[in-house]
Amino acid sequence: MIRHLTTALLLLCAGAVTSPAWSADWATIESEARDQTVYFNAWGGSDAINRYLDWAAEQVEERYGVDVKHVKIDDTAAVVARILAEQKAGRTTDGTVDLIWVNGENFRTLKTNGLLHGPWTQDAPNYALVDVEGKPTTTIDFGEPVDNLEAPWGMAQLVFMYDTARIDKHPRSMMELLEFAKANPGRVAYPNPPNFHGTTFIKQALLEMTNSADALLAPAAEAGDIESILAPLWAFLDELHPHLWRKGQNFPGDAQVMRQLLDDGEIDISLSFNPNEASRAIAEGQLPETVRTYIHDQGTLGNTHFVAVPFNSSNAAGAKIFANFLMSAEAQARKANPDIWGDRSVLAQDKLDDNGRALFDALPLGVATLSVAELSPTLPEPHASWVGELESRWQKRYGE
Amino acid sequence: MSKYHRSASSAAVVLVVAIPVLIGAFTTVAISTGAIRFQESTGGNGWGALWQQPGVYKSLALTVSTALGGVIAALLLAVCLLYAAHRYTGTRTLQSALPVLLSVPHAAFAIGLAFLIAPSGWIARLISPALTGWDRPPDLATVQDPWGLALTLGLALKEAPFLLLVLVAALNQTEHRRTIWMGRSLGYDEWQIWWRLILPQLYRQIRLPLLVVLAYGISVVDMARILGPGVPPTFAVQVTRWLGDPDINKWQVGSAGALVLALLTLALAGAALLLERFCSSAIRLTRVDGRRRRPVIRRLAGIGLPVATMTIIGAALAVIVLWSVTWRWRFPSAFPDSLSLEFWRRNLDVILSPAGNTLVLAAASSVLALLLSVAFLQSHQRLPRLWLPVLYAPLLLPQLTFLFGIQSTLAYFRLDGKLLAVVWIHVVFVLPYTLLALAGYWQAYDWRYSTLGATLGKSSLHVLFKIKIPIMFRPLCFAFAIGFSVSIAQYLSTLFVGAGRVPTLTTEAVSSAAGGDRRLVAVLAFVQMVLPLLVFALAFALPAWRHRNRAGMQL
Repeated sequence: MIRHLTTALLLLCAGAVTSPAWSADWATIESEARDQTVYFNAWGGSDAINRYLDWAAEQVEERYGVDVKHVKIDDTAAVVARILAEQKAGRTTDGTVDLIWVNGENFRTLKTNGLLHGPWTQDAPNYALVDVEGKPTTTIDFGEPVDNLEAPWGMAQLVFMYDTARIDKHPRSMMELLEFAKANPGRVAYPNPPNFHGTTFIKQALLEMTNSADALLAPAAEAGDIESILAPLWAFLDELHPHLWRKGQNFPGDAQVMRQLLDDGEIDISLSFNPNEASRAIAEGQLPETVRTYIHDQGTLGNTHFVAVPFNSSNAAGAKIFANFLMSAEAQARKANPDIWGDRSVLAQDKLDDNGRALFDALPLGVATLSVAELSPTLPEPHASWVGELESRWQKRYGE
Repeated sequence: MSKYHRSASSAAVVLVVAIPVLIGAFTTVAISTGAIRFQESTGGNGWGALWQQPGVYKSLALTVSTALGGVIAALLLAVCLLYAAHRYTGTRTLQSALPVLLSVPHAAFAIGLAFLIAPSGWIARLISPALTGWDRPPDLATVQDPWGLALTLGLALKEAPFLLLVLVAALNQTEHRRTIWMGRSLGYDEWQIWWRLILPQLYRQIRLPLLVVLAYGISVVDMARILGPGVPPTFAVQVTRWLGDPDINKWQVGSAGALVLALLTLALAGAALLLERFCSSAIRLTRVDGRRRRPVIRRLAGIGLPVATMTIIGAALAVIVLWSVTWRWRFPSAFPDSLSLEFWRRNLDVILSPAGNTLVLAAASSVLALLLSVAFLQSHQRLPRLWLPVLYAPLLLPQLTFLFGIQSTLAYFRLDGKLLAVVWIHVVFVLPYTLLALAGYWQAYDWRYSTLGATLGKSSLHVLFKIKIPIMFRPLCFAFAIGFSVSIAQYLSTLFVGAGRVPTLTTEAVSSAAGGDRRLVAVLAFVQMVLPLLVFALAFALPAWRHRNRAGMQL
């Protein structure tokens, strides 16, 4: 059923993409973009990503004369709040943000409040390379149609990491994880929602526990009795929490804390949205070489992350040039390199020319990275409106 | 100095410090009550919604316990340290060494402390597995514990040197030698003299600094994010989260919360003053109980506590240095498995840009604050008592109470996120410190030098720049260094007024401390900690070099 729904949504979207609402001359945008300064607000917590962005900024400076400044933020929601504040203050030009790294709930907030420039991605030459057919999450962002308001940048899938030197057999489902936690008290953890990874963990648990998966793909407001849909999740968490790290009284702040705890041996299993995370961390000296990756038998949640231009950016042309460059085969292949960042590409291999394909073929596969085949199935994200419901109810149950 | 000068310099100080703080606070009030409305906000005002937020009472309780606990523990530690210094090392060296210790930014210190006391921290590594049998870190919340004990410890250790500095200054104004001599002749031992005779004399003079420490503890966000619990966090951290929430209704809640912080400060300050009354009458009673000598406590509190305090502070700073040159350091190795400068090489560009911003902000705001301070002190023979509350306002009010209002006002005029705006907000926090650092020296200046210059027919500006400022060179350098370190430690002000566009070492260190690579966190904290140290070293070296041929200007 899930698959049918996804296909239906996918067809809908494909229709939208082939009939662009308007088309602008990309060359005009290029000339407009010259000498513009683009403030790119993107999470700055990883030095690998920061270095990658420095490289990308250098490239567009050299090639298009666009000066990209990476504003390192630790909370995208705060930036969304600021754009919202600017709208309220009537600041319709010269906004503080020119490009933002975004997806899911934050995208929905931006879109529903009319805070985005566009639609424009259909005009970006490299958007034609994006695998919109094979990767439905590039056009539907957490249940919300993208409508060409944000440019796909990378693919994420929930993976788990463990140290083979410490445990032999990893759990293959949430139920097995519960058994593992009972056998190894204090060695299992997840970040507390509203942290992105924490919310993802409870969404994954919800998908594995619930028998109303279809309702989760539609807006929560249409679901009727929300509590009865969520009841199996709370039953699972109630049973899990006493066996968690710190007995579920305190939670790691985010996935990076989890990685550190895994390295220290405080916990046995960490999680990431980047299937290459373990390989990258090993290369960076952040995890021991014995760490490996796995996913659950039923599959794990996957999504796409994007970049979007706010409505009040006065440097939209420069921002688009940079976004287009980020979607190029060159930039995507470099990003997919586990020695650099290791973030999966949004491009379709069969849409690339020979040079582009060669770039991807030359990529090393990290020691602890699963192959694309091992990473399936990918479960679609519940509709973004569930995030708020899950987070506030989780907060009421466990956060007080 | 003419009346005109006096009112001009007073107006400048009021304009820079008091008025923005007032405007900021009023804007926050207006937002919280719904007098200033954001479109689409549904709630009429934030006050009703505030009390229905999950975890709000627990957050408040946590704030009260950590702030009060921190202040009381800091005071006790400071008194014990002063006693130990007075008895064993002398307070003179203390007075010049303390500002250096104080210059360690709050965020860097919190990071070092977390590196030290975490379950996988240095202490656990040093004693494991030999003493503990741990081959993996224990499942104990020694950092970010739900009771906020780690945060309380952090606040106490960070603020104790500040209170100690104030105590030393206060001590030098009392006739403590005579008091000690009298106490001895009455058969009291040193420890009793300290508590019964000297401390009551000092307390009056450290009341205001104590309230500053209390207000800081109530509104601290950077240390609380690093050492405090996350679910629920302290109230100030929660308010910061609301003010950054995508849901605009939360901003009203956050504004109301920011005002609750101010009310809480007022209430706790009132409670502290009552407590002071109570304690002073209690001490008055015990003072005449006729008892003599309790050497065990003395040894414990007079030697043990100071040594432990200094060891912990020293180790917390050392472990930052250690982590900054580490490649791999797994638990339970006592020292890094592999040392390397590789991490520095790879991340130099990550450090350079925030380090540049930090330097520019610190240098510009300290110079501006110094100029204002000199102008103010030149026209006010002595610091009028009436002025103290104005100058202390940004330190006594919780920063969140006025920062969100200032940010909203600046955003309205599109001035947020500008480097100059951030320089200015730093001046607001730096000025009180430079002014207080200079006031004593300005008062002690021998006016006959200037009079002599004037009788030789020189203009007052000539006298100021050719005679007074060269004589005041040492205190000016010192005040600059203090201002510099205050600016470097700024977190919330940079965050709010900078609108995320002006990353500094502090904002970067705090945002990555929450779980970023320990080596990167250590590198950021290290640079953050070393910059003020270098400036202090210069502040000592430059005057010494300048005055090398002047016998009368030696320390």
